Amino acid sequence: MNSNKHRRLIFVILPILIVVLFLINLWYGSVNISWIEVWETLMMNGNTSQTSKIIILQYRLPQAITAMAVGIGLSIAGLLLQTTFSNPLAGPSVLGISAGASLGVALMVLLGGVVGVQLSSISMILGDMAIVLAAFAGALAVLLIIIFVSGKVGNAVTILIIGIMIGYLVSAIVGTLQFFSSSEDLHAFILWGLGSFSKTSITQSLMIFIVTFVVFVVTMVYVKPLNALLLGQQYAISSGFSVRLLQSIFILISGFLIALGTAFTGPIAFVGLAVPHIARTFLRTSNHGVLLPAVVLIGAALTLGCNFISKLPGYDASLPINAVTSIVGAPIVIWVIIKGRRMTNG
Amino acid sequence: MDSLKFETSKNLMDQDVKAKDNSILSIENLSTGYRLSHSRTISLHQNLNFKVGIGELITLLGPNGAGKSTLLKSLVGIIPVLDGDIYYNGTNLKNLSRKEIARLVAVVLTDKIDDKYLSSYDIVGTGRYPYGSFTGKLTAVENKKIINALNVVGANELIYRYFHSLSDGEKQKVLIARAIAQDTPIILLDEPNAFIDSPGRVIIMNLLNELILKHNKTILLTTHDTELALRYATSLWLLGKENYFKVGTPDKMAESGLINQLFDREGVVFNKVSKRFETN
Amino acid sequence: MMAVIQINSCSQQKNTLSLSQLFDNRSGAELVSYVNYANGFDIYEVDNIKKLMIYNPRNNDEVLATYFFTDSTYQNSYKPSNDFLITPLDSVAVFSATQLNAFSKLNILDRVIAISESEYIRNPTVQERYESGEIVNLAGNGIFYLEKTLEVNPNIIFYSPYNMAEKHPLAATEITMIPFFDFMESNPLGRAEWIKFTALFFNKEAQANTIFDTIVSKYNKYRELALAAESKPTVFSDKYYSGQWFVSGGKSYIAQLFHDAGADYLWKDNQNTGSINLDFEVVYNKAHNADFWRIVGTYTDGFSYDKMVAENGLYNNFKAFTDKKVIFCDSKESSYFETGTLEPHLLLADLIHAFHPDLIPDYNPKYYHLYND
Repeated sequence: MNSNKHRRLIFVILPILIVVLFLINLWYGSVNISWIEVWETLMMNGNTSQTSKIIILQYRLPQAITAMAVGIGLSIAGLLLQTTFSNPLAGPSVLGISAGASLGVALMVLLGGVVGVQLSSISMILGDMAIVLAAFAGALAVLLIIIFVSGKVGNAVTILIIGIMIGYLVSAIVGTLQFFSSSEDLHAFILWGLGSFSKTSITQSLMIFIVTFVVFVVTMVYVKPLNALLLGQQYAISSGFSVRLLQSIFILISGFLIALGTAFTGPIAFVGLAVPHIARTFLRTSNHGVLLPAVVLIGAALTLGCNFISKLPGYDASLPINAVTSIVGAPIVIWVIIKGRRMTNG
Repeated sequence: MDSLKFETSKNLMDQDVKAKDNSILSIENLSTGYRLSHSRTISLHQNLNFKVGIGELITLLGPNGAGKSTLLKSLVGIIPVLDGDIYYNGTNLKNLSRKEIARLVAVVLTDKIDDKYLSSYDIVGTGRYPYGSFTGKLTAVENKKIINALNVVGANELIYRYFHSLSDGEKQKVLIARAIAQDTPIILLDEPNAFIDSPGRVIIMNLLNELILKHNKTILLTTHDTELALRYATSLWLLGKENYFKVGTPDKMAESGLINQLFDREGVVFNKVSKRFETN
Repeated sequence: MMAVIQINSCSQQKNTLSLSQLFDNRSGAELVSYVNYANGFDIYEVDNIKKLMIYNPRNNDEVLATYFFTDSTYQNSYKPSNDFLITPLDSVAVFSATQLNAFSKLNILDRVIAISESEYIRNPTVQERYESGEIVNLAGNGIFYLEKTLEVNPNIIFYSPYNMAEKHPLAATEITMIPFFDFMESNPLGRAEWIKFTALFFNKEAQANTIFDTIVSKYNKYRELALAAESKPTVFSDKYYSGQWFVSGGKSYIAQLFHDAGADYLWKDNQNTGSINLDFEVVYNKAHNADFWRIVGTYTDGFSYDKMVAENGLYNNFKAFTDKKVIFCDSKESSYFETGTLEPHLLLADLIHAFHPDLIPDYNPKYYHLYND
């Protein structure tokens, strides 16, 4: 069958593309480092300068790994959410979980100024981890609310609406906090909100990647119920699945992935929403057995690509990641949807 | 319409349709409806009792809003019952896992399937989900069953086409194929004829008959198409609002005047002889 | 309360000249500004009348406002106008913390009847007067209290806008609002010179001049000493946060201090007076071998290298960090943002003491401390 060949092609090309993009991200940056030097550094060859080693191994490498991990995590989350809620517009932002992470960070960074405490001092004790923990706490708090609600309310649309409303509520609280904060705190919070893959150490980035990958493997166990959900909740139940329980599980997995990403990188726009659509349209299937691995590959390639683009301008600074993912993501989704429409209508 | 007298179903149980002792499906004191909150429930039917024998084609007939769908879905566990018990082959539904239920009963519903990229093969494939490994990968045996099911319904050429591009009739066939692939002794269909044209309906009903005769299935379906119901059913269940529930053979039901009671409207009357609705 | 606007329609005006004509009729040589370092304003004097010109801090060629001053002796000699101020002013609102500091140094805090965002003020006298109700807070959380302002009715409101194009919320009160732009000066002496600006409104020029001249002479002495030093250590500034490194530009305030302290600021060739946004890579590449690292910030219970590296493990790759050559100013402890402006000589001495300890060995730093142990 035609699409099978198509599929095989994509599953061969994408991994290669990812490797290439990964290496490009290691080689290209504001500081000129020759390709040979990058190679030798990676090979742990002692000949390279200390500066190059630090830049490549402690800055660019964790950046690339984190980019991939978050690309993968958000894409899986987006796919799970779109299936669970039978809604093509579902994405990490839709459940208010990203907003929850923002709230956690906002409370940490902004509230201090309002209450008269220099909260950056707490972050000085815990270091970067303070922000990470705050983001996690915020995201998981919202997540728990959503899961609680989804347990009581089976209807997917209702849960979705509640999630969106929570998102709005949380954003409003954040806005209020911003209003009352000093300009330095505000500046710090805004910077966080721009999203960045450069905030992790090499250990952290590897941890995020491994955890994300483990979650991916776990998610593959749920291919059948995910496919069954495509027929609707009632058909899914009749196929032998406990839909409410599964809904909660999928929300939990998505929420965890979103919290993980957001905690370490700040909110990353668009990836979770766009990648499942790209996967579906190119592979012309809704079978999660194919889609899950596909979104993993496409997600990794997309974020690596965006990370590279963000470094492009050639100024000594990079573009904020969120700007790039949105600018790249939106046209892709539009193109993909139009292309998809033309095909299925023909 | 005159208000209907409440009579228990037992009073009208036709002697011709004897409940077998080892009935495949039996209901005791079943109450169906919806629980809106702790205190508020909407009750549709109470204290239903019946037994279904193997090989029956039971038609639930009634006007819209009577609670046919609710009853049907309650039988599978999609909608929780308010009270009472459901037994499959003697085992209480409450004691069966969802997977076990899925191996006993397959359903065909009126739910719209919106997904653009599911093929007929994919749809029928989900019928195999209660079996096999969790990875969802379909073995050669599974594959055969899927193709087979599509054969039975006469939808071979639709196998790889996208489901959403099919006509309503074709979709119905595919969904029935899915139920067949699920390899269950019982199949429940909710308004299988809803969007089908007249000839299509006959085809579907003949198909269902074939399933019973050749494949040992027992079938329950809901409809508000009286004429079709009378033609094909082995047993007719009349459902109406306010807990109205009567059981009998099609002939008995037609003669009894109950259909008139339930369906007759200003200017339109059910003719017991021709077994059709006619203008007054 | 003395009125700002001279409504007196006294007909026996000796002189029908307008004030601006008074100044326009003089030639360039007679008009020497009293301001030598600051770019944001000029003060001229003719016949006991002083003229203050305030310039657009982003474009010094553009005059934002002009005011004329005299004390009551000469007030009848000229046609009254809105920009003719009779000094000393009675009561004013002061929104800038550094300007409040100037009031303090000039001993005219009693003229201040209103401030903004009282939670940020650290001056003890101001806090006392605020608590006793003599000073009123006219703004909080970015909101200005219009009615309160009208009630309190200061002669003048001194404010520090970032954007002159936007109309200030208090403009509706029609109270004269005068911008105070010390923070836009990148020359350390220029920034301190704004004490003359404040003094002008209260007949305190003499005192201001004395204070400023002392500052200048001390500053220049330190500067001479430092520029004569044999070595010129390299230095860089600021921390990395959330993927961005905002580094002070080559023409910024701190860059000039670095230069005058006899250090080689690694971004001295940059033309920016503010901060520039750089990638970690770029900063690391340039500064990893720098001798010193200057940071202004605040930590609970003081600075420590452990606290700093907890923020970002990458700091360990900077020689200045591992050699323990961080020059840190605790802005809260030292009130750096309030009082530092008027003590550039101390800022300079602090830095010299860090860069060239042997030059001023007995000096006790006030703001910047080298954490060497």
